This record gives sequence, structure tokens and C-alpha cells, in this order.
Amino acid sequence: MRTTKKIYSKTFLSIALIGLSGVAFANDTAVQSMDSSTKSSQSESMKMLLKEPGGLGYVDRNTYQNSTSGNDGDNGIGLEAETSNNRNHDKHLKEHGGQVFQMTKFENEWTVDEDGKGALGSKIETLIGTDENRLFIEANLDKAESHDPKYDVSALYSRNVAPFWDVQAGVRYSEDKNNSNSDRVDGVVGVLGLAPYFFETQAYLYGGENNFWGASLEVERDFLLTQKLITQPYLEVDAVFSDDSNYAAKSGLSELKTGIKTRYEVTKRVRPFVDVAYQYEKGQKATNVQEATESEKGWKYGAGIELVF
Amino acid sequence: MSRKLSHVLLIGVGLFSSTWVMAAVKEYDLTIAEQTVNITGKPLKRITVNGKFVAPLLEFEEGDDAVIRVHNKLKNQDSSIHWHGLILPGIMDGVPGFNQFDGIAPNKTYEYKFKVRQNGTYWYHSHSKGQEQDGLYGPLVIYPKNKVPLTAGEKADRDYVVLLSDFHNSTSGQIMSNLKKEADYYQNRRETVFDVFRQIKRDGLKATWKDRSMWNQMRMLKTDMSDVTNYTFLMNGKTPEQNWTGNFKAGEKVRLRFINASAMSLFDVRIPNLKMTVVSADGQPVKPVPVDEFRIGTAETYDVIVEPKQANYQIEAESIDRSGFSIGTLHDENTSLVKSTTMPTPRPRALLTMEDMGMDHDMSSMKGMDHDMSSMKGMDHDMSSMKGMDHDMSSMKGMDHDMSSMKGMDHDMSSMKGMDHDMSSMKGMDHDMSSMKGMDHDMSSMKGMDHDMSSMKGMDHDMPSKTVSSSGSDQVVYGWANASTPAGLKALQYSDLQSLTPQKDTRAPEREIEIRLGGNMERYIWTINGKKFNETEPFKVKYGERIRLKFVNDSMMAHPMHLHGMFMQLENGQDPSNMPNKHTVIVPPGKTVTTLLTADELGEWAIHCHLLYHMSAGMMNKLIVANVDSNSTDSKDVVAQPNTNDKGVNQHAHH
Repeated sequence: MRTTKKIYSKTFLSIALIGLSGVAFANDTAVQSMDSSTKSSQSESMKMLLKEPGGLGYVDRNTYQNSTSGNDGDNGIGLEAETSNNRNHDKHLKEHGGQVFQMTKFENEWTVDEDGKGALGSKIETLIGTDENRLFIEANLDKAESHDPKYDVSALYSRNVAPFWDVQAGVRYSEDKNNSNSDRVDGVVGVLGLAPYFFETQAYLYGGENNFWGASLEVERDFLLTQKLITQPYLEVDAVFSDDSNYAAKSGLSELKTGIKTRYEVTKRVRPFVDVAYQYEKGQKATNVQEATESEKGWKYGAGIELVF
Repeated sequence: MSRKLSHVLLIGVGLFSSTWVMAAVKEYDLTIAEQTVNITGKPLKRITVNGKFVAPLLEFEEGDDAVIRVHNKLKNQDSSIHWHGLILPGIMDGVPGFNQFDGIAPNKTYEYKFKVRQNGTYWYHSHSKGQEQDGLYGPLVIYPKNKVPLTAGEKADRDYVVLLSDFHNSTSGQIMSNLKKEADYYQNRRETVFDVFRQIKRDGLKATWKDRSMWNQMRMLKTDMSDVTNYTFLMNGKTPEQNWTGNFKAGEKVRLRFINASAMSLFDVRIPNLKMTVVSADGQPVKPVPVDEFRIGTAETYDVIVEPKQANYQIEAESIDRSGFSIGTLHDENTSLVKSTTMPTPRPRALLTMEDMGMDHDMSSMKGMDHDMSSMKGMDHDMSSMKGMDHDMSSMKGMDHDMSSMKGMDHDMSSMKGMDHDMSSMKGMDHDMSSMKGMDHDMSSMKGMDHDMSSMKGMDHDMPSKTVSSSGSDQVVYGWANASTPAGLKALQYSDLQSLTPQKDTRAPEREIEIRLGGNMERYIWTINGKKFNETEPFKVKYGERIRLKFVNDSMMAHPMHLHGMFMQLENGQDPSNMPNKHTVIVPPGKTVTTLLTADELGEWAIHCHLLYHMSAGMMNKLIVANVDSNSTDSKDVVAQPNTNDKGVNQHAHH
């Protein structure tokens, strides 16, 4: 009973926190400025992606419908004029493929490790926009028992470049409340999509002040036990290539977590789950303000709920 | 004197009645409003027309001048009505954004005025957002002039509309946004890991991996027969429990006008123990085809004549994802009324095959298979029942007798219904199948072929071991086209349809427009030639031009493709003068369907998938028919010109 109360109040707190920070970032103009850079960089390498097998009927945006003409020549004459340039027409066109949709996932999980130490993790993810251009906001908050929270918020511009893939770029703001002056801003680029064999994939590269370079990868896949009971093996990897900041982690594979999350979809919107994972952390690097720590590894057991809006 | 008077009277009456007949003006007022309706036991806000859920039947006679005033009483929502299948001036077609029609704003009235130039069974629905799903659809029937039946066979004592639709507890807006969140939001019969285990047990690990890996690479589900589930299927607005009933007297002939007015559903329609004679398809008369059942695509219509003898018959329209039935009753009014309906046992749902994904080297690659059909002894009569394989087979010239090169034919067999005419030249294929080296191992993937094979009489004994496994208890049925029609029963095929009256234009097409239907199920994006409507260029056609529309389905779902404003002649293997007129053609997954079109109606015509959410997601385009004037660079004026056929009908909108 006491635990549930605790979870409840912590959940509430984290919702509020994440909501606030999300709002702050939604209006961040920095996001907009990223647009042009991603667009231009999306040329040749992305053409490769366009041709992958999943790309059913997905052709290069510059190609025109090919109609074979029996008596070529005068067919086009007089037909070229555009009748579609008025605003109303565009409005109607937008109703057939240009609409704005959003998808938001909120996840809250209580985990305990082998020693019985608890932690609360919350995550909110939002994708909003058209099929091609979306804003992606992700916020994470982790709070270990008797510690202050760590959190990060990312706001990324997400551009659809291939049937199953978005390229994303933006910024991440993070802070560890346990350390003073630990807040930082990093640039982020990466991809979000569905790899062959239905692997939901998110991969990012990070770069920021104090010569920080890092990467992360998340892969997960659903296996249906029934239509509602779905088990999801997952893998999360964090790597640090270099970091000269005061609170740096050891470089190399800094964190690895793999587990199986099994959810029950009460409805498509409400999905309680249990989670069993094995986690490895390499530990802190020795710096001016902290001592090196040993690597840690062990099992984590979690339970939580995922909500989809 | 009195004789003279009577003459004068006669002339007077004659003159009066003839003008009356010639210029009958048929007027309707339709008020679109939002109201609470209760279909499924839950009161819901839906769209009504004149206070009715499922808009009222509109009736006309050929030659009438139709005047329909549509009043939009929706709050904050534009509306529109499109007259589905009607030949009329572009601005009367009712598609916002086309022909300068801009929809009907709230509290505004739009007067549709047009000459009724055809007869048959049609319907009408909103073309604004998802209003069609939310209730803005209804039947529209045009009788021949003076209600004289077109043929003796069509003379019927009773005439009923049977309007099939799908009702959802969520609004169209909610459904669309759910599909955009997760395209499998409504998939409630996906395969589970246990289905995979069963397959491994049955076929072995290797075959299972082979089968599954492709689907996995493509990131598609075999079970995606329809995108939206949890529908309640209605017949004339009534649920199966409410049981729509059409009365008849023993010995009477009854005409049933089936309209698939659903947003997202295709149905297999049957009336157990009652033969149906199809006399009209998409409102256009066809030579009678007696059938036991037919598949009706979204937005298609079929008229059938039945001669019921029993006291009661149950009309059953089962959605092809087997999630439910639309049910009604035919009842002999001289017998006591029987109870409610009995829910029939659903037929097995078909799983999609690689072929449905268009992944196989399909028929097109069978070109060059050359000359030796003659040596394919045996197949003759069987193939006749393999109706359906459209004209594409015509390109099967070749087919070297070696059959070893017929690899790739494998699962195709399941969908080989409909092969007829061309196959006639494939005389003698049967036991030769055994010599179809290279086909054998492929056969392993022919599971589910059971009954299909059974219709390929003469062939079945060749592959008994393959069919046995599939007819087992697990009842796996493969292939989109597989309706699980019981052996011995006749299901209508497109190739059966022949126009009742010879086609006027039998010219060969001057050119071909390829319309590739594609999609990305994961993101719920649907495209024509790789583009959504909001990012594409219209198709442009010269007035009077004869063109072929080649629908190539690159996706794994069937798309009922609808062209506004003109009928297409379906190239179904019939002689050009016999090809049936269609306004909507089902393009099965992975298949190609072609139609011929005489572009004789000026204007901007929508061409789109009639699955509502596919259209919303972008599977739509505009086909512009314009006079080509080499001096004019602006097609706008040209487009706005009325067709000469439309004399006397006001071209302009009355707001």
C-alpha cells in the first residue's frame, strides 16, 4: 500500500515535470533552424534507403507518373496549365495526405535491482506533424531511491526519408540534480524507424561541450502471445567516445541494458507491463570532482504502465 | 363532332403527357445534420440526412431533370454530396476542390441540377473528410424511362435496395488518427507466435523461415485483409438483430439492388439455397449471370434477380476479413413471420500470400513462356472454371511446355480463378502438372488451396498430398481471392460480366496510363504512383481520347478503384463490344487490372481508392479531361465547358 502511494505521488510529480519541460521545448526556435541542414544532407545517402525492399511503390519525389503515349507530340499542349493554384484547392488536397497527426506515449516504470533498491523511470515521447515533417519530443526522468532525479529532454526535427525511416536532428538538454552545474546541451542526429523483421529502432549520435561525443541505440521487437498479451525483447546501448566534463562516464560501452518487457493491452491506449532486464554500467571516470567507480551489473525487475494518446 | 372532340382531347392529352414525360423535373431537398443515433446500443453523434441515419432512397427515371437542394446544417463543418456513378457535369459531381466546387459551408444550400442520362442502381455519399463513415450515404436508383424493364428477364414483381454498410462506435476522425498512431490499431486477429510454432510443426523450420522471412523483411502482416475492425455491418441501416426484411409472394420475381456503401469493407454476398441472376453491375446492365455468391467491393453495386420459393431466406454479406455479417431476410408474406436471424458460421479468413504482395514473378513474367500450350494436354475443361485471370493471360503466349520454368506459378494457382478465355487455348494441362518440375517444391507453399483446386477439376488428383494437409483442422486458407466458396457453387468473377448492349466505342486505346497503387502500412500512407494526392500532378487526357487505365497493385491490400464522371470498360477478357461498364474496379493485392476509357466527359474527375481511409491517407488523384486547343495555354476555360450532351441543364451552382 505504501509503495503504491509512493509510486502514485512520484508518477504525478514526474508527469508534471516532464510536461513542463516539454512545453518549454516545444517552442524552441533552435528546432526550426535545424530544418535546412537536414534537408540538404538528405540527398545521396538517402536515395539508397529509398530503394530498400520495403519501399513499395515509394518512388523518388521528383519522378512523374509515366504514361506511355501512342502519338507523342501534341498530347501535352494546352493541358499544361495548372488549375490547382488556388488556396481552397490546396486546402482540399491537404485532406488527402497532408493532414497533421500526433502520437504520444507515456511510460512510467518502477524498478528494483537485486539489492532491493528502487528507482522510478518516466518517459514521454511525442511525434507530431505530417507524414514527412514532424517534431519529435522525448523526455526521460530517472530517480533512484534516496537520490535526486536525472532527466533529459530532446526536441528533434524528424524528416521522413524512406518508407520506414525518419532522420532526426535537434538538441538534448540534460541535468543530473545530484551534481551541481551538471546541466548540459548536446546536439543530436539520428534515425528512427522500423528495420526489417519489425525491429523498432532508434539510433543517435550526440556531440556537445567539453568534447563530448556519444551514441545510443535502442532496438525492440514485439512478439504476440495473444492479441493483447505482447512480449517485447529489447536492447538499449549507450556509448561514450569521449567526454572531458566533470561528471563524465568512462568512455567505451558505458551502459547496456537488455530485457524482456511483457505488456497487456487492456485497450490499445492502456498497457500495463512487467519488465525483466539485465543491466551493465561501466561507471564514472575519475575527474576533478569525482572519483572513478567500478562497473556494475545486475538484474532489474520492473512494473509499470504505458499510455498512448 | 364528338369524334372531333375526342381527337382533340387525345392530342391534347398526348401532347401534355409527352412534354411531361420529356421534361419531368424531380426535386429533392436533403438536409444534412448531426444527430444522436443509436445503432449498437450506444447513443452516438452521427450525420443524418432528413433526420434519417442512412440517408433516404432517391428515385429517378432516366431522362428526368434532377434538382437536389442540399442544406448543410452541420456545425463548423463543410459538407458535400457526390452522386456515385452518375454521368453529369463536373461541378455537379460534388467533390470539393474539383471543377471549382468548394463544398457546402455550414448553413448554406447547394443546388445540384443535372439531367439524368442513365438508369440503374447507384448511391450517393459525402466527399468531405470522413463524413461518409459517419452516416452520409444513401441509395440512388434510376429506373428506365416509364419503368419499362430493359429485358424480359429483368421484369420483377418486387424491387428492393440492399444497402450494405459498416458502422463504427468511433467517428471517422478518431479511426483515422488511430490508424496514424499505429497502423495495426484495429488488427485484432494478427498471427501470434503460436501460429508460427504451428507452421513450423506443419511445414518444418526451413519452409516456415522461408515463408516468414520475406514478410518480415517487408514488414507486413499476412492478416491484413482490412485495416479497420469492430464494425457492425448494416443492411439498409439495420443491424443483423434488427433484421431488415423484404417481403415477397411465392412465385414472384424479386430484384435486389446490392450497394456496398461501406467505408472500408468488402463483402462476400450469398443467399443460401437461392440462385441469384446478376443483371447489372455498377448500375450498368449486363447479360444475365446465374451465381450462388459474389464478392462486392467497396462502392460497387450489383443487381440480382431472384425467384424465392421457400418461406424465408437469409441474405448474408460476410466481410472478407470474416469479422462479421450484414444480414437480412427475404420473407414470403403469406407465411408466418419467423423469428430473428441466425448468425451464420464465419468462413475461414484467408491469409495473404507472397503473391498477394505482388512478390511473385507474377503472370507478367510468364510472357515468353511460349508456344507449347498445345502440348499442355489436359487442362481444358478445368480451366474454364478458373475464371478470373483476366486478359493478362493473353500474354502467356509462350509458356514452353517445359513447365519447369513455371516456377513461380506456385501459389498463383490459388488465385487462378478467373483464367477463362485465354486458357481455353491451354487445352490439356492436367496430369502434365506432374511434369512441372520445379513446381513441386513450390507446391508446398500451395497450402490452403484445397477448394480452389477443387474447382480446377481434373487437376486435383495430381496434388492430393498437398491439399490434404491444408484441409485439416487448422483451416488455413491462403490468398486474397480465396472466398472459400463451397465446391460446386458458382461465385461471380469479373470475367463473367458482359455488357447487355454492345459498347459504342470499341477503339483500341491510343495510350496507356499506369496507375500504381502503393502503400506503407507501417505509417499508414497510401499512394498512387508513389505519391499522395497532396503532392502529385493530375492525369491529363484529351477530350474524346481512348485510353487504357492500367491499375497495378503493388500493395498487399485490395483497392476498389473508383473513377468519377465516366464509366470504364473492364478488360475482363470479353470482346471489346461486350466489356462491362464499371465505375469501380477491385484491384486485388499484387495484381494488375486494366480498363478502357473513352474520355467523353469534360471536367476534373476524381480517381481514387474507395476505401475511405486510404483515400484520406492520399490514395487519390485527379483525371482532367480537356479539349486540346493548341492556341490555348489555359485549360481552365476548356475544362469548364459543358458537354454538349448536357444541354438544358444549368451548369452553374446555386448557393
